[in-house]
Amino acid sequence: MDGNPSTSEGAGDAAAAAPPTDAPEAPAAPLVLKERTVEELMRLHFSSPRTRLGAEGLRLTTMALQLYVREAALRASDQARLTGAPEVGLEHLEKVLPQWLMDI
Amino acid sequence: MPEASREDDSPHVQQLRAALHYAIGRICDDVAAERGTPFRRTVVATLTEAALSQAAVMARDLELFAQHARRAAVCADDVKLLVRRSPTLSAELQREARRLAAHAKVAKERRRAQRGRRGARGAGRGASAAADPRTATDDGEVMELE
Repeated sequence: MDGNPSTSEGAGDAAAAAPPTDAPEAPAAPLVLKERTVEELMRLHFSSPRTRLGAEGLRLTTMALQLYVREAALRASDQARLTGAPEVGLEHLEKVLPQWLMDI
Repeated sequence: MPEASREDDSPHVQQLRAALHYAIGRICDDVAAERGTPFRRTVVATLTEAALSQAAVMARDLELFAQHARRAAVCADDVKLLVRRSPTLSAELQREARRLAAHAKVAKERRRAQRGRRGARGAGRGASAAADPRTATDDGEVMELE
């Protein structure tokens, strides 16, 4: 089950032919999410005080979380466009959340 | 730190929530600019809560992966394993992991070369302090890839 919004089943309408959101050639979007924030967030939920994030692990986790959130936003936006809504609202987010939760 | 109330409302968690909310607001702003459709504030708030929940799941999984590999530090392989179900996430992370690995390799070889040069000047044991990787590197990168 591809996480790509253009093939998302959660939209309830398979007619959408939106281009892929992440062209492989495009450089990764710069990080707005701070590594420091992610590090503290992760440490909050580690069960052992010994567990830590290496530099590469932290960078990739930050990227993963940012991309994951962006994916939800993109799918919600797609959903709003499908229904012709002027703005992205909770009803659009709720529709895409279940699939999004399963895609990680 | 196993505290009973740490989950939702401690000041620290509120701070993290606020930081996350800000970043997610900007992510939504970017998408809104790209797609031409604005996001309602409630959507950003809800997405923030969802991200917080998922971050907890991610943390637990990452810790388990590292422990399974008998490591204390979560590394690139753990994160790659975490995102295996998403082709787009996997592709992006693979690419970044390769870039980071290449960068680390270059930095390591540079340090090795600098250590070699210092040794040749005959500074002897005193050279070992100056050859410390953190002072020797001219990267200026905050990230200490060693």
